[in-house]
Amino acid sequence: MGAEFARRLRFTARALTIYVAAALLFQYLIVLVFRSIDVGALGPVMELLPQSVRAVIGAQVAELLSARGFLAFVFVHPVMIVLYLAFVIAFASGALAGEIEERSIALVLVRPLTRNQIVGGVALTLLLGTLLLMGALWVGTAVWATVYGIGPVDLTAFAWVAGTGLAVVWSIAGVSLLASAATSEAGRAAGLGVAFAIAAYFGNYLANLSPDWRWLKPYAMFGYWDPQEIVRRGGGQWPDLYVPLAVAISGLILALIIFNRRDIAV
Amino acid sequence: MTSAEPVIETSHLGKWYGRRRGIEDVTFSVPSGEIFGFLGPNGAGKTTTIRCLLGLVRPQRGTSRLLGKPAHRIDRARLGVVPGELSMFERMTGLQLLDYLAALTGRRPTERADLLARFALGSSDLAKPIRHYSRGMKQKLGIVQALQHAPELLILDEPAEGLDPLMQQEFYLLLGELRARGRTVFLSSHLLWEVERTCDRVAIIREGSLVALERIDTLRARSVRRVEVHFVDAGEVGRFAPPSGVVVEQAQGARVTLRVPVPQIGATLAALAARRVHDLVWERPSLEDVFLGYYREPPNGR
Repeated sequence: MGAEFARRLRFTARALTIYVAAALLFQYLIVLVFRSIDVGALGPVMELLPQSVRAVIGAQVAELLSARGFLAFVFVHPVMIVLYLAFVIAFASGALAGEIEERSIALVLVRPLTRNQIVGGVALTLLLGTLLLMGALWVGTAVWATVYGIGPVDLTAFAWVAGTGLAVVWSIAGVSLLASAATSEAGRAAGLGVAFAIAAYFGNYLANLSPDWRWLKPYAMFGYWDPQEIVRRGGGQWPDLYVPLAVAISGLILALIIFNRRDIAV
Repeated sequence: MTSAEPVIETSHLGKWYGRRRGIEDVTFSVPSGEIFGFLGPNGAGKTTTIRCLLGLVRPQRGTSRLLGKPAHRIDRARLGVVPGELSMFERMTGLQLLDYLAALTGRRPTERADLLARFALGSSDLAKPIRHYSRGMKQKLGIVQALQHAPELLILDEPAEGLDPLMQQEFYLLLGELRARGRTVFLSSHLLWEVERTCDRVAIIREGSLVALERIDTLRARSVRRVEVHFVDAGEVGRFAPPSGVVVEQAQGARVTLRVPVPQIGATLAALAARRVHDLVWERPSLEDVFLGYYREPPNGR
């Protein structure tokens, strides 16, 4: 199991370094943008934003004018979301379904390693990779806030932001892992992961856009992650962690069951 | 597992992929220390049988046991496998792959150095990423990874595919040595001559079912050699009397193509020696020729 995990980690390290560097660079650019704008003048403009744009920003549009709100928004900026999802979906789909498609998994399956250990190695790498990505953003928040003297920034609240974000990203990782365990083509597994991620994102967007769609909120994973609300309250709510984590764990358990029972015709 | 117990044992194995037939009712056993050939054309069900043996797919019918245990409960460290259509982790170097697979196996790669030397894989080759390997090099690495931990049972799916003739020779030599050391080898192939030269017994599979399970001597005795004879002139053709059982398949001018059953080879050579022959070409029999030999027999004659 150790060797299998080490292989996964080694081949993820380079991609993960690029993801983390890109996330930190983007966060840095956003900080520069915040320092260059006149917050006082921006207030009335924000009020004029159409609901379709406000739905992207989150429930607390006014928070965006504060340093903490601006820094919190970085976590759910569409660019960042694409980064998180690209990592988990690409890795999960390539790890099982991709190796079945390439047939390289045959070399592993004929060795004294259980299928649970193979799925476990992938899950552990996903866990560690996303932890690193979100952890880097949390550290980045502290560093940029200190270096540029913007704040005050409550790092406990930002730990909640990162923690809730991790739970949401893990829920998508869990479903992507399930798709990868159940299929034999990386493209199909990635497609299923992307479909779930789109539903998770746009379900929340529609719920924010109109009261008619509010009922979608509990079913959309991104509905459990509102960084600006978290920093405004100074902390998060446990259900926002539990629900996405339950989805993530269910995805993992189903992936283990299916991968154990399925034929792998390599 | 007792010494009398077969190393591989399948009983009425059947596997379908949806509506597509994989194998039907495959039963055979392989005792310890034997090189067992599993012969069949592409798509006959060889790889499906191997998948069932290794527990990669679950048969809908029948059972299989390896080293005395059901396929899903065997200690895989005792196995060495060269999968068919070998595919590797292309971003790894050869050495990384061998180390990684040895670590997964949990046994020291005691045979690695010898195997690398035999298959001419030097340290500079092993330092390269596998994506830069030729097909032959990948196949050699595939053989090394399967054997490096001195497994008791080898399951090889078309192992010599892609090897150059010299390396094939080395590989067959190695198989002989493994047999001498008491290892058991299950060798799947679509090449009759490969099975003929290396195996003790052979099972022939066609369209998912076993059509024969024979000692290799018996198979050889039943097989037919195609011989193309070029006499010095057409008159010699008329004077040539083929021995009983030898069939003249084609005759054109001074050229004649004969189908010679193996027991009639001596008599045929004697008959040809009495005539003036310009040239003689013995062709390797194809698998289809062997199948034709079997299908011509009535079922109870097999």
